Amino acid sequence: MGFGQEFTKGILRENPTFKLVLGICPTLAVTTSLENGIGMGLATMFVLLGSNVFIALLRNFIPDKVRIPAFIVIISTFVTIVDLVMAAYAPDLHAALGIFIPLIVVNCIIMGRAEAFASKSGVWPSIADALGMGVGFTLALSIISVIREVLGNGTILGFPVMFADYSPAVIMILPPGAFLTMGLLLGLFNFWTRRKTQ
Amino acid sequence: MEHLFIIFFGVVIVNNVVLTKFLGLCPFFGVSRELRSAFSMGLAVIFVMTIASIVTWTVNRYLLVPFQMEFLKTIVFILVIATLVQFVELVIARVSPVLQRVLGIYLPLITTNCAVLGVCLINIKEDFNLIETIVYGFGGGVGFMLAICIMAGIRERLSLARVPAAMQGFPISFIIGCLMALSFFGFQGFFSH
Amino acid sequence: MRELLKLAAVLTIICCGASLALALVYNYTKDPIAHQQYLKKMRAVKAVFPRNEGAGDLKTEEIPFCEEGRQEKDCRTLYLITKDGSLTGTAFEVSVPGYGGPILIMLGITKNSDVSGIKIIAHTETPGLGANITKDFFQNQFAGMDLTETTLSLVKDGGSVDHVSGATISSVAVTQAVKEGLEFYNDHRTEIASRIKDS
Repeated sequence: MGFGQEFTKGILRENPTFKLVLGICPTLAVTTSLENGIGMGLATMFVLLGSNVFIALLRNFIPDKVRIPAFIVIISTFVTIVDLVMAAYAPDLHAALGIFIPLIVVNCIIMGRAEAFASKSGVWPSIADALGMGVGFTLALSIISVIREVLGNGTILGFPVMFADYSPAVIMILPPGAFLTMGLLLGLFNFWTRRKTQ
Repeated sequence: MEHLFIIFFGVVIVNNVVLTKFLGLCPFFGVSRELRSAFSMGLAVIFVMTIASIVTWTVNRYLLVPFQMEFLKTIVFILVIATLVQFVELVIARVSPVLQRVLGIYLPLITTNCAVLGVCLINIKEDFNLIETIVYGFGGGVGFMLAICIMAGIRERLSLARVPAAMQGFPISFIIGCLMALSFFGFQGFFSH
Repeated sequence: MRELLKLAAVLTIICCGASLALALVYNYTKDPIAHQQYLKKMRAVKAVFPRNEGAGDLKTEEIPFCEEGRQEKDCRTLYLITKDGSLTGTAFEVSVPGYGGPILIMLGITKNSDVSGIKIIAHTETPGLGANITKDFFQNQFAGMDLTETTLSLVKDGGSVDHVSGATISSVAVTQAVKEGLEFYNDHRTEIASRIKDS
């Protein structure tokens, strides 16, 4: 597969959220507003890119037996970098995402890509893979958070978008709304893929 | 004593780790097809979460804080948890074949269970002392067990229901999750009076 | 044995690389992070003294203040607003239990012992309901209130605080925080004022 194909597969065909259903915790927890959703998506993409590049570079150097601890160290290094940089330059976003920034370490998408792709591929395909998966994840988070922010708060990125006397369905930005949105979107995604294959 | 009970009740019911804090969702949806396996997974999480809370708290208090290396928290905690899981696996295999049969395949999955790391990080963030940490860690495990067992119970019954084709599997599980979160939400503000 | 050494060596090298990278990033971001936290506090202090905005000769001093018999970690940090060496206002943080967890407010008090303004710094109240305590209409109504009147309770309890709709408990909690803060200030006002001369 070429660079382009490796990139686009993460967006739709192997979308980490809607197709593989990985990394659900941050997907549900931080999507109360579009800003948080995009912030989380970009942070995850950065970690994914960094860890994929380094794991692809070091893949012949790391013995098979210690690969998991080695991957964990590499991934958590990038997570800590994101954590520190965000605290220094985007403190409000850092506070809003809270404990879900350090928890990027245990996001199954990152470990999954390291294990299934980067440890077996060259640097360039790994970059394409990381970017594709990162964009796919960010897009998924954006879709969920737009739905939740519009219905639950009547705004997009903080700007009011609904008619003047719209009374927000607060439940959508509370935990139950997260499960509901995700469940219905997954059902919709399944419905489309089934129609296409028939 | 009352204060410890509030911490425990808080993490099990009022702010359930899974349903309101969104921790440990992967096993919550992944290992909840049968009640039996959900129960074993729950036991394994209670076990590891309690020990991990104690160990990470100690490491943070006596190693990271004195040397001002708190920024290494994430990396140190995840390594401690990964090592701990391996160690627990070894010990269980030697000590109790019964327990190994019950927990066996679920233990390795726990390394990447964000509930364990999440609870350890919350212990530090909330500035808990050792006793509170133990109660919170144990309570977090119990909360996880409660949520996953309810989920598995519902899903076992659901296998008899006629679910629309597109909603089978994950989608319907999320809808169940929504209804569970909604009912647990009723406990919010329980301690505010 | 040789294999074991190799495994250990590889892991050690990776860990060394990781800690080196982190140490660099930490050093580079340490000051900006501290600065951000300082700025956040200062913005809150400024927000609770709206009437003083633009006055260039105001100085803000940060002093630790420990009540007698309290442990060190329970000490407060006071922000003293001074003009030409005399105290015009005091700001400090007050924390109270709310509906979903602790609510932390910055409380500004004028030298006449009435509220200059409040700002909610941190809370975990329900989004869309209790979280509305951060709205201006709610926060701004506290300005000018003091302990001598019975105003510091909700309207339906005979006071003059309008509560946030659907969030009585959060509103009561904030009112309580203001009350506690004012009581603390009244109990220690001479001591606080004396601190100004020391510095």
